[in-house]
Formats: sequence, C-alpha cells, structure tokens
Amino acid sequence: MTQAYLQQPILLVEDNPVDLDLTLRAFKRKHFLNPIEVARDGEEALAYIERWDAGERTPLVILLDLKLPKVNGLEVLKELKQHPVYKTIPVVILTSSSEGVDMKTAYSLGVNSYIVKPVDFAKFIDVAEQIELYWCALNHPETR
Amino acid sequence: MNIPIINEIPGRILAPVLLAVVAILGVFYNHEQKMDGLERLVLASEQDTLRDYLTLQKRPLNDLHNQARFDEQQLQFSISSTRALTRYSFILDQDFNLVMSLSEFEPGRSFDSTLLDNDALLMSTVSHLLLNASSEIEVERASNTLTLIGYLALEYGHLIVVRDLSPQMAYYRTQVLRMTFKDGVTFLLAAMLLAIAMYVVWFRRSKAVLQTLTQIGRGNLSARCHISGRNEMSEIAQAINRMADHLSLALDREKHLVGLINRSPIVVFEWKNLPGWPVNFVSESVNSWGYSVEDFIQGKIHFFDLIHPDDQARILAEVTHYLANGPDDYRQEYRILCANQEELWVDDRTWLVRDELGHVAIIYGVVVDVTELKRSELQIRELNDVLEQRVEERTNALEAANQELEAFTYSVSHDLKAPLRGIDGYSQLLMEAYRNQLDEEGETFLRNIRDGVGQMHQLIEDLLSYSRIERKTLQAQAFDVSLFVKELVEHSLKTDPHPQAKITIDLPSCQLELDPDGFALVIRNILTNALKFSINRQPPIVEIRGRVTDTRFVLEVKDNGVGFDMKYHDRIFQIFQRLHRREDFPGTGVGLALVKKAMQRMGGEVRAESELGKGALFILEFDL
Repeated sequence: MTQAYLQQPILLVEDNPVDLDLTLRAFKRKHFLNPIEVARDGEEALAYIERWDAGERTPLVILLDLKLPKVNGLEVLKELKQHPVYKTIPVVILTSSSEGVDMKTAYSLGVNSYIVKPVDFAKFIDVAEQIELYWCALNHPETR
Repeated sequence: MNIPIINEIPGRILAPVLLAVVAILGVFYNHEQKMDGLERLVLASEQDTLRDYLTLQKRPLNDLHNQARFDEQQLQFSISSTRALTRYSFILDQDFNLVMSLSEFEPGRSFDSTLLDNDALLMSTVSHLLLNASSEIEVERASNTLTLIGYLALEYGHLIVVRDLSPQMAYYRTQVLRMTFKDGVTFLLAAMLLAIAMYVVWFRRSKAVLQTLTQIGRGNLSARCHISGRNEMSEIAQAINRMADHLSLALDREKHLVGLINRSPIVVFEWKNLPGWPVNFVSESVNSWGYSVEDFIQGKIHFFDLIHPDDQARILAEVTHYLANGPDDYRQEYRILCANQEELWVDDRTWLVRDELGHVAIIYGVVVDVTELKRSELQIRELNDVLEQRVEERTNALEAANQELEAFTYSVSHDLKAPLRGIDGYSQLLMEAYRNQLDEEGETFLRNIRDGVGQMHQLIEDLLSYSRIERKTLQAQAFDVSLFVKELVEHSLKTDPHPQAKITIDLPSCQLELDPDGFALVIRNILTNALKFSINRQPPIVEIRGRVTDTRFVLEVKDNGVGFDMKYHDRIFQIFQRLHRREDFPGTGVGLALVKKAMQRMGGEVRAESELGKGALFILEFDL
C-alpha cells in the first residue's frame, strides 16, 4: 500500500530550466516517489499559500532557489517563516551561491537547511538522495 | 636727622659756619683747660717756693734772735727781700705777741685780726696753723682763694707769711689769653681754608651734578656731567651719566617700538572703563582704518561706535561678562567699520587692569586686522564643503560600484555556475544513456568537456574567493598562531590527504591579532602550494617554522619542490600567472594572488625565495 507521506508533494522553486530538469532527473534517478510541484518564480511560490488555504495538500519540504525572478528566494523564505500556519513546513535552500552572507541571512530567517548546488552532476545526484532521505524519509519514520 | 633750620641752610654756608663754630668751641675749651691747669700749676709751684723760702729763713731768723742786739736794719732787709711776694709777714713770740712785722706795727702787741685787715677767712686759716701746726714748716692755701700761708716754727716763736698770688696769676692769665687768641686765629684760618677746599672739591662739583640732573629732568637726555678724578662726586657723575645713557637708550627703544606699532597693522588701545569705551591712548596705526588719533583722544569718536552694528550686542555682552567675572585676559573676534564704511574683521586681545577693590580701571587692547585670514578661512571652509561634497559623491559612486561588483559577483556565483552544471549534467547523462552509440574518441570528447567544466568551476570559485577577500570587512581576533596553524594543517590534510609528505611545524607560541579567516586562507593556500609543487619528491618535505622579532612575527614555509627562477619572484603573486603547464601542475593561478591580497589586507607582507629545482621558501611577516 502507498504510504501517506508518499502522497505529500515536494515544492521545488526553481527558475532555471536546466537546473529544474537536472533536479527532476536527479530525483527520478533515485526513484523518488513523491509528486513534485514546481514554482518558476517567487510570486508563484507565494501563490501556493492561498492554494494551501483553499485545501490543497501542503508539501513535505520546500526546495527554494535564492535567485528568482520577481520575488527573490530570501523574501519568499521570510514570508513563509512568518506565516502562522505554514512556518512549520521545512524549507531547504538549494542554490549556486556559496556566499557567506546568503547563508547567514537564510539561517537568520529560519531556513532548515542550506545546500550549495554542486556543478558535478554525480554529486548533484548525491545531494538529491540526501534530501529525500532526510526530509522525506527520516522526518516521517512513523509512517514508513 | 630732621632739624628744619639745618635743612633750610645750604651746605655751602652751613659747613663753614659749623667749622667756625667748632673752631671757636675748640679754642674756648682749650683755653678753659689751660686756665684750669694754670691755677693748679701756679699754686703747686708757689707752695714749693714758699716752703723753700721758709726753710731758708729758718736759720737766719733763729740766729737773729740769739744776737744780743736786735738789729732792726738786718731784719728790715731780711723781710723786705720777700716783699715782692709777701702781703703779710709776722714773727710772733711763744705767746703770739708780735715780735716783728712787715707792716709798721709796734712790737709786743698781741696777734689779732686787725693785723690781717680783718680778713676772717685768712684769720681762721692762720689761727689754725698757729695752734695746730704739726711740723716745723707748713704751707696752706686759704680755702678757695689765691692766698698761701706759710708757717715756720722758730726757736723763740712763729713766723707767719701770707702770700697773695693774684698779681702773678693775672700775669699768667694774660699770657694764656694771648696764646688762646693766637690759637683762635689759627683755627679760624684753618676752618676758612677747609671751607674753601670743601667748596672747591664738593660744592662746586655738586653744583655741576645738580645742573646736569636739572637738565635731564627737563628732558635733555644728552646732558652729561664732567667731573674728573676718582672722588665720590665723579663717581656720582659717572653714575648719572650711565643713568642718562640708559634712559636715552630706553627712550630711543620706546620711540622705535612706537614707530613700529604705528607702521604695523596692529592698533593698540587704552580704554577707559566708561560707557562707549572712550579712548585714553591709541597708536597712530589707527590711521589705517581712516581715523585719526585726535578723533579718539578728543572724544569725537567712541570705540563702541566703530563696532559693526550686528556685532555690538554680542561684544557688549561679552565684555560686560569679562569685566564682572574675568578672565582678565581674553580674545574676541568681530567686525569694525572703517571711516569709509569698509568692513574689517579684527582679532582683539584684551587685558584688564583692576584697582585694589577689583574694579576694572583700564582696558588695554591689541587689535589686529584679520580680514584676509577670515576671507581665507571662509574660502577654505567653502573649499572644504565642496571637497566634502565631492568625497561624498565619490563615496557614493564607489559604494554604487561596490554594490555593482557585489551584484556581479553574485551573478557569477549563481548564473555562471548554472550553465556549467547543465553542461556537466547533460555530458554525464549523454555518457550514460548513449555510451553504446559512442566510440572511444566520443567518450574522450565528453571526458574533456567535463574536465573543462571542472576547471571552469574551480576558476569561478577561486575568483569568488579573491573578490571576497578584497571586499570582506576584516575582523581581527587574538589567537595563538602556533595552535591555529597546527589545526589548519591537520584540517587541510584531512580533506586533501598527502600520506607520503613529511610536514613539520616548529612555531613559537605567540598571540597575533588578525582576521582568522584571512589568516586561514593564507596558510591553506601556502600549504596547498607547497604540497602541490613537491608532489614528485620522495618524500615531499614541508617545514613550517616561525620566529618573533622586535615588531613582527615571521612565519616561513619551506618545501623541497621544483622551486622557481628568482626572476619570477614577483610574478608568482600576480593573478592568473602560472610558471608551469597545467598538465604538470593543475591550478588556476589565483592561489598565491589570494595569499598576497589577504596579506595586504591584514597589514602583513609576503615574499618568496627560491632556486629552480631546489624548493621554495615563502616568508610571511605579520605585525605583532
């Protein structure tokens, strides 16, 4: 039988089509079962709040890029973490930026994890696996 | 001594008069002394003479009585021989009856005072002698008179001789008086000579001194006193001349100074502490403001009227405060109006002179025209404002540029890596999905593409590090350099192991205050560099050692690697500069540039020494 958490989607906020495709492929490579919803900019990501209010399922984890069109990742993060209900949804920053400033700001806004996207695809697959393992499987042991 | 009469009489008169008085008094005293001595001398000498006479008379008078015949003639003669000196002379028998007398008295008559012309004083002395004579011959003075009484005891009676010394004394007195007169004349002459001498040596000179002093007093400072010799008056004259020299010198100097002030831009004032500050004195330099000294002195202008109307209230308030509370030495800057209504800025340095009660009596001021200075000050201030504005503009521009650079770096960090990830990802996917359709060459191409991506990625990362160390705000922290280096080396070897390499660390314990991130970056890169270029040695040796000098901590990293030619010792620290082919030693050519930049930012220095093939020595110096 399909376990409950596997029904819960993952929200991926990513504007770059190449990164988006590679991320999806990396998850697929690791036989990732959860549905993946995609927001292509910050505005789209924040629009999900209304959809959740309307009854859509909240995601298991949100993978958030920093550099986004319209509303950037840090603003989205801030909004989410200030939300009375959805602040509990884990947010993982997945970005190319290894700038210390970005890391500090993200953590100060309450991010749950900060991952620098590796350029090497093999390492990228490892990262995808670890995200799945930690945020999707280990975080919900009781449902497994 | 303050005796008015003496003070009123000039010395040239008083001195001779005093001399004459002294001479006369001296002569008089001398005379008195002589007179006094004379009486005593005459009395003593006459007493002796009388005693001798009586001794001589003793025998003849005794013999005379023994003679059977009383020779009257003989007696007469004998007595008369003493006549000149004798006033009375009697021979009395044992019963005090007159035997013989110098005067015509009948013998046999008893002795009584009539014989002595009733002179009671004389009588009592004679009676005393007759009754109480203790020796044969006695001489006695009738008390306080010039009369001597001689007594001689005879075989048959007594001889009484009374001598009156008055005539003799009178004679001697005349003699003494004559002498005294002579003395007096001599003394007076001497006093006169002395007075003349004094006039010559003293009064004439003092008159000359007086005349000179009078002239000097009247303002003739060229007057001099000429008295020759080395006497007191010439010394006084010389002193006066010296005083006059000094006075005229001081006066010249004062004139010179006043001249200087008058020609200077300084205006000197002496104000009365009265409303409007009327002027007691002002230097002629006030002409430069278009006013005359007389305008002020005659009270036509008061100083307060000169002050610019906009400054009057402030100055009045300030001065009132200073007059009441001090300090008595103060400085003010304000504007004044010249006669032609031109505005001048002045710097007024004032000092107050107070009376015993603490009230300000006089106000002195030195007023300097500082208009030019003020103008320059204003100009400088304006220039400064412009400069500040420019600095602000530049700072803003710089900040903008910095922000742009940051945005650029951010983009590099983010956007440049995304396509790389695409290239790498799809190359790998291609390799996996289409391997059987690719020949060996095709696989090599794909591998080369992925190598290129790896290098490009490293390059981007290095460039980002370089720009980060350039932009980063350094935060110095104190740490022990020896412990920190050990930790860094251990950590570095953990992530990038070099099992064959022999790494030694020999550092003194020393506290440095540096940015730890910057320091770590330097050590990591230097170590990586040393290991990279000695990888082919058996074994690679890296020595890290350090020493403390007076002002610096010197850290040396020595390897036994390939080294470099010293002609490139500068180039190795330039960004993208490589001395080796990439296939021999990988790298981007950023590492040492990073070290140099970090050292610069931390205020340290880095240099390298080497010889081709003989290893390299990197010397890092940090301020203590």
